[in-house]
Amino acid sequence: MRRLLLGGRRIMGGRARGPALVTTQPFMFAHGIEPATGLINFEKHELRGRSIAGTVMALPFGVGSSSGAVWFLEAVRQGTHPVALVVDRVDPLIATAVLLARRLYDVVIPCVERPGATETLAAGRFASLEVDGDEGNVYSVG
Amino acid sequence: MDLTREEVAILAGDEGPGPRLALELLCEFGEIFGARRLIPIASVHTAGHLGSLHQAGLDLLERFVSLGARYRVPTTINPSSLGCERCEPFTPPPGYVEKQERLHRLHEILGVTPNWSCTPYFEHPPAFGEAVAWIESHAISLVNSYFGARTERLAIGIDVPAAILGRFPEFGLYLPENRVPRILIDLVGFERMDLLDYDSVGYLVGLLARDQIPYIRGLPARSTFDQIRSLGAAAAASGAVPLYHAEGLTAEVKRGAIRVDPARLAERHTVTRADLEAVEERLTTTAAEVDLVIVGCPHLSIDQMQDLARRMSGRTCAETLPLWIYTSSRIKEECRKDGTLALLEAAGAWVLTGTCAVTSPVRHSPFKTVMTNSAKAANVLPAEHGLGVVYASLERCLRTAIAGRRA
Repeated sequence: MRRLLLGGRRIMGGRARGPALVTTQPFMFAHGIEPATGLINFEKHELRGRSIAGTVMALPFGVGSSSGAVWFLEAVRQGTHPVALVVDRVDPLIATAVLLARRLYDVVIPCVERPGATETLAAGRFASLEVDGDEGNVYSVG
Repeated sequence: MDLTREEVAILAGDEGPGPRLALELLCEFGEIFGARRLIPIASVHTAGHLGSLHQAGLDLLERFVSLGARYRVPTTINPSSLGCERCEPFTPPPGYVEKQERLHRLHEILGVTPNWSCTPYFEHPPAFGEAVAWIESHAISLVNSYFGARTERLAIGIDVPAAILGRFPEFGLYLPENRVPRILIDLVGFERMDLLDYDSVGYLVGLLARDQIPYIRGLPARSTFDQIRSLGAAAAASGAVPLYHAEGLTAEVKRGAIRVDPARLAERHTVTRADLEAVEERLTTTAAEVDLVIVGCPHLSIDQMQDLARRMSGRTCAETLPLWIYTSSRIKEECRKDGTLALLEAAGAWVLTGTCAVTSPVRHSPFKTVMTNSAKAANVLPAEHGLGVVYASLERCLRTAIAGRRA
């Protein structure tokens, strides 16, 4: 079963599905994740203790140090990255991360931007999501 | 995006695979942000500390080096994770030093200006209205606010292709219409301010402004460059403020490039002296004894080094409690020539270059609790390095270093 949840703007094409990891709180990749494991250790964040690895991650936008994109990229290098991203608003950290993942490691991380997406996805409490970056669509699956 | 004839040729590979990859990345990046063209940039400020770059950051540089690319515009670099001198308190994990040295080497091959400091404006100050492409939040704040030049907040990673091409997509703060203040912050009762006040006010400005551009009224008209620098550093750390305007002080307001009618700013905040106490309480995270005093985030200017030497005259640090002063090698050399360095070292202080409080691997050191007069360092050290922090005035920092215990 696949159900269309929202449509938005393509940031990176490709299609991927995985367990949903949704937050409405801005997310800090620099010092906020452990790249070797994908574990989130961002203090005071609602996702602390969970893992980004293999998930479809929905976050409003990235915050914190300008090194956030390379922290994300190190997770890609070690294979602990989210398989797809949904953002309310794309920012330079997210854009740099998905562009370099493809150019440096041939890892395509479909990414869709849609204002208010994280509120919608958080309210639905979906177990699994699919992102089609080419269409700009996000589906619930399973 | 509209590309020039030269850019089309670069995409076709006329200048080799390095510039082509860099241009492909900048075009993809620019399209995400709706840029219509690339613009020339006068300089780049990049990063090279392993603590944040990891192997992935090395891989990016290795790729461009293997493609024969070189930096085309003056490119400075932020502090390293390990300085060239006095690293002995740190015991980083195996391979760390070798990787950091490889990072140095790769940037050297690419042609970096090896300042290893967060103060690129002391190497190549940007001209009013000029476009540059910098990382380092406090330097970005100075570019936009104090110098009236223009930079977006770069992510580390996209800075490398920018330096290789000397171009960057035109979007965000490169466009005048995005540099207009949206909120008003009135400071009441700040006719006289000491340095810590600038840090604390800046910290509040960041919390209030979040990622909006503020217009600040009520700062002393004679605020110095270093004071403005401290305010911007704190605001960029607690919020995401890459540009602020301040009545009578910042470049675009002084030159009339930005005309502000404060009455038309819908969101308004007032900051009073009473608000500063809350900042000081919030930034101090522990009642524990201090085992390290850090001054110099951002790296100190020559004026600040000379001021420190005057304050330390006739006083000596306790042997049990190190006082670390961070600056750039350029400023340290000036201090060597004018005798400032000898005075500080005679007082027992360490003057460190090449690295900084935030980029060094303090997690891999015996230190647990740091006293600092920098709101930026106080904000970052607990979150990124798990250290306890005591936020205190410069004079209290020095008294602590001299007494050997928390003053």
